[in-house]
Amino acid sequence: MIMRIRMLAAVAAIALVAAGLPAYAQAPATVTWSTLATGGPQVADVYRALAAQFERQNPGMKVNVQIQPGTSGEQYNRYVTLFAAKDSSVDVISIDVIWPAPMVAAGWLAPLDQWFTRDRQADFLPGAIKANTIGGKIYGIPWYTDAGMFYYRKDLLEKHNARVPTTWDEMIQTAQRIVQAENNPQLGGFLFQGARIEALANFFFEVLWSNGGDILDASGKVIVDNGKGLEALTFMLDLVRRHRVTPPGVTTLPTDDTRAAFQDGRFVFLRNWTYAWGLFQGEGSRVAGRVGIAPLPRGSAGSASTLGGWQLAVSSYSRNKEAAFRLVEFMTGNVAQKSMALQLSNVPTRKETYEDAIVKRQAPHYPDMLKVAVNARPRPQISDYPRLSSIVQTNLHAALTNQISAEEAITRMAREIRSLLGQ
Amino acid sequence: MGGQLTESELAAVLLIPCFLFLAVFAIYPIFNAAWTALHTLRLDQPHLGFPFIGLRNFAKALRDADAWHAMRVTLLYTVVTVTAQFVLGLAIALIINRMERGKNVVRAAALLPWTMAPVLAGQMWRWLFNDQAGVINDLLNRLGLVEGQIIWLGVPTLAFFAVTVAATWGAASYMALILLAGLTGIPDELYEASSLDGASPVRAFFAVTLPLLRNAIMVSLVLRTLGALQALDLPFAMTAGGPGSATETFALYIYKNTFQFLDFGYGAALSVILVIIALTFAGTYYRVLAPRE
Repeated sequence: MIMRIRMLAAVAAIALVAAGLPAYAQAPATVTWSTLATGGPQVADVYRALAAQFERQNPGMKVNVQIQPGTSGEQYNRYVTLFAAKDSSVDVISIDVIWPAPMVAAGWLAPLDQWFTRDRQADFLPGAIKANTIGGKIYGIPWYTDAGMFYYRKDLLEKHNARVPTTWDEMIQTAQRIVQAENNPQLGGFLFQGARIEALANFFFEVLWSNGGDILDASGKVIVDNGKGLEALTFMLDLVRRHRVTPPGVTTLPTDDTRAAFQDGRFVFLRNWTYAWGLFQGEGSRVAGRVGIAPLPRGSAGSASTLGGWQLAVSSYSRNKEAAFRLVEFMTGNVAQKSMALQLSNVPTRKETYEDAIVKRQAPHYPDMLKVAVNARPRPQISDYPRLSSIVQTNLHAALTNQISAEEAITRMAREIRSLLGQ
Repeated sequence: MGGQLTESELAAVLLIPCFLFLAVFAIYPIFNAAWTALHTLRLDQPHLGFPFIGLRNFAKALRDADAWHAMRVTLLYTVVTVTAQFVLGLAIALIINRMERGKNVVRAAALLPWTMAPVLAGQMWRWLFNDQAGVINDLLNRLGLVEGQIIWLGVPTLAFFAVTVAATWGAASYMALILLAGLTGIPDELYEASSLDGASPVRAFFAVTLPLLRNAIMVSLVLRTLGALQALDLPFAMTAGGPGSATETFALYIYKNTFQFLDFGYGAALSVILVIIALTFAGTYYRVLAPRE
């Protein structure tokens, strides 16, 4: 009996001591970072190397990197599932520029204002900061930016003594002239993303903005049917039907197919995102060294480009938001941005990265990209953006594939967006 | 106590795991969806909560032109693909059934399209039908049937046609396999008897083969019809519902509302509607084709 009591006492004593110790002091704080890696293992390796660098600089912290494959849309659906279940297993996520509005409305992102103050926000491109600001609070730090770009075949322009077009009209004339002179049935004029995807809506916005129109005005009222929308869509249809610089099959081409067609030497001009640049210059490209990059041509109201890009954000279900923020801070810092700019040709979001001597020397095209990125405009920032975009895409595509007229497409688009916004 | 279980008690006990599995993974989700359908549940607007709204989601579906359009696409898709799969599947089954040698090899090979994940098959067909680099356009041009490039996936009727071709390719062999099992079960004596009676092979097909295949036909039609009504993966991979919304099936529309627009209540209501339509189809087949007393 006495033995038994002694044993119990000993066990109790050990338990008390163990309970008194702060258990978390030994276990490192682990931050789980979930991210899409467009580009595959090569990209994932860079992310992992950066995470390892963060661990070395922050003893006691561990980063669990979760790399996911697929497209932006698929990644969005994964996060929907995760957050709908209020899952706290992920602390940091990388998010597409169009996600802050719906994700903040759903309450999934933690505001970062207490750490990411106004003066620190000033180190970044203003457009990218604006895209992460909702209701006066900031919910993400721009990681790398992107914008609709105008690619041209330097060699063909030189051969035909043409300058880089700066207006849409000039683009059409130059394309027609070069295609005619080349007399090569394989060569086309201009390509945009004509499949029913996000980028189709983005090209429409770019044409619309460049002629002074918009989907919503500053107060959020639908104005796409004020004439400018019809003008923009008619322009897109004319590229195919009247000017014949764009093939009718454009309606089946998603982003990367247009990149591949241009890279194959089959077009004089292309609208695409910045990622294409690295691939054009890469191994196996038929246009390496023969491509130039410029802002999209101007319309009556100037040149306009859709803001793209990715941000890092902290989940509102994270149990360790401060540690999560430290990872975000590191991944968006100059060291990480420089490394990603040089290794992955991601366009930096920090002004100082552009001024970096090594970046300047090794990636001389960034100032060109920066010019466009600085002027890039965010897509309509409403929490229901995914639905708005779907309305725009479907109606544009129906017109491009001859199912409805341009007038009807714009009328329907405006009516459906009004009904969506309750106007 | 201590007594042995009767046979039916034992059967009940053995069925418990299966029943539990179905309860958790089939019955509960269906009722949960039906319950959700009676509420507002919008993940993009969590402040709305989960209020009970009766049949308002269903009323919205009835007024939703896009939902009606998606339903028309789905019904047409179902009728066209299931008919084509049945005709082709029956032909394949009859041929394999007649084969003297190599039956097993052919049977296994014929099943290959069915084993391919529909998303992969969709990607493959998307490339075959590609207007610039597709094999189909190339073939038509070489044969001199067509000049220039047909934009298969960019023209509504052609895109619909392309998707039904891919769907038929994918599931005809599956249909064939079920029908083949039915054919194997028909005793040869019946054919001998009918030929002794002077029946032509065509007559024998309609008088002997088809009636005795009734069960296999019912099973294959029910399974493929349910599959076609739920078609999501193949059209998703080939056209994503385009051009415009020409190939947007009901399942794609549910997916879009639920996971892209985050309107779970409305998505659930649309799912319930699809379940009711699927049950109606299954019930009709059963009534028409089930063996009679």
